[in-house]
Amino acid sequence: MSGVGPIAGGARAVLEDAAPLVWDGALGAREYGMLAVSLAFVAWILPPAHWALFGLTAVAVYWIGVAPWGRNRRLLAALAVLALFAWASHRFPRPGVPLVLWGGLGLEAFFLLRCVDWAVSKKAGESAAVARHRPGRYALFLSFLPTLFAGPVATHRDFFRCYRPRSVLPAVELRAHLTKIAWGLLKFCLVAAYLRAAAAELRTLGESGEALLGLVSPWLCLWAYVCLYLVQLYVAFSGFCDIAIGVSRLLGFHLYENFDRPLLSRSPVRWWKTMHISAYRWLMTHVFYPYWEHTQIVRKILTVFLASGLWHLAVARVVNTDAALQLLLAVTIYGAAVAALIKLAPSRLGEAVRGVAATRAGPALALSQVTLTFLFMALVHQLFWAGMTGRPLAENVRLFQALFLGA
Amino acid sequence: MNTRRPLSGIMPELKQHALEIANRHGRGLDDLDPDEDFTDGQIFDSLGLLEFVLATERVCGIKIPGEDVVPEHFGSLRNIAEYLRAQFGFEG
Repeated sequence: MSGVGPIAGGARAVLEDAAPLVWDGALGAREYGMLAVSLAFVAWILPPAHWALFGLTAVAVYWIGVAPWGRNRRLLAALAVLALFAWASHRFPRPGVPLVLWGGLGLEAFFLLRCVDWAVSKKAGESAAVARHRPGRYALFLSFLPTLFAGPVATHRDFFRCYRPRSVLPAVELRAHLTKIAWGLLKFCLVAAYLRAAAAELRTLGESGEALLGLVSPWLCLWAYVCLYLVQLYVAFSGFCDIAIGVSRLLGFHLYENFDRPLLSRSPVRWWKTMHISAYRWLMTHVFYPYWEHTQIVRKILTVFLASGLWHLAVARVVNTDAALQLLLAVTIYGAAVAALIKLAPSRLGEAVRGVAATRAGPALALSQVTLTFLFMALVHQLFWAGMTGRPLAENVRLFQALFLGA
Repeated sequence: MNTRRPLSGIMPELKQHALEIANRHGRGLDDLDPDEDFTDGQIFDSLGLLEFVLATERVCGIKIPGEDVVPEHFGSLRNIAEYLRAQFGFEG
């Protein structure tokens, strides 16, 4: 198993250089201002029917989170409320949000994660008077505008732990945050859009049987489309997150980086840990560690992927049999690959691979591992996003037939 | 009468285990600060942290519930000492 790469140094460097946390959780003008802007924006983009849906769900989850119950009871109650929320949100379809990643598809997704985190993170015996229970803090955590649509999804603890309110930012920090936002805008608005158009063109050529420039066969065009589709997904997602993280840091919330060069991963295990790091951390905290015995790694991993699949299914644009099948198939294949590789890591095969990596054949091995991982993840994401966007299964069957059988 | 080993004897052993696990995962560390964050991926990844939890159970002779594997309890050596003190009555 390849080791996880270090989290990009930016967040840690900022945290280490910043003043010690002194914020006691009492909302002041600054925090109320952020809350007001966030709530106003949410009210603006959501139809009125959704105001009640989100509002009632948030209130119900708040009370569950501060109730004097055990963790499991609070979790079950929260899941019941959120299942109702997910069901109702599909009954009131809402228009897409312009200029936002995936048309705002992530709004409900990250709302669900924050609600579950709130509901289960109360410590046993914690009194109602602690800062954590203040409704204003909860509201800000749920509705923080920069991270509303695509994360990073910080846990409640991490969100306020990384808050360093300062009235004046040093020039070097200001420059770093603005650069991050500019880079994110470039990736999200320009690069991803270009890649998306190029991918669509390649798919059209491949499906129509035409060669690109008379040189690249339709079959290669389809493979190029599959690869470029994944790259544009990553560029769009990481670009939007760069904007969100840069703005959050300007506001005092020094959130962690959300990606660590996943396209260069040498195995799906590393991809899992470096593509959408905040969701990975959330799943580790709330699914991986709490359930099964500490030694039952395979069961833990499969449970994490099942939970992830159900979470995505709950917020998919279209929920039908095709969508569920493709989405759950994608996470099953992905999870099985991760579990198998982790299980094989300490075996003789794993030792042999590490042995080859230490020889002169190491770079060639690394290149082949990166290539195979990339192609595997590209195929998994075709299935996955077909499920999320409601593309018919038959479309993917034709694509995979063309890719592997040339049909 | 508290028959548990004192924390002053346990913590150096746990620190040694933490360093071994971290270095097995390629970190190359000589020492660990008591407040060094275990949970941000710099010391351990998720599986490394599980290994450390199992080591803690062995060293301390206790069973740690899965839902207790959170940053408040396993975020650093200092957090672990506080957790063992508060939850299991370790002293010293």
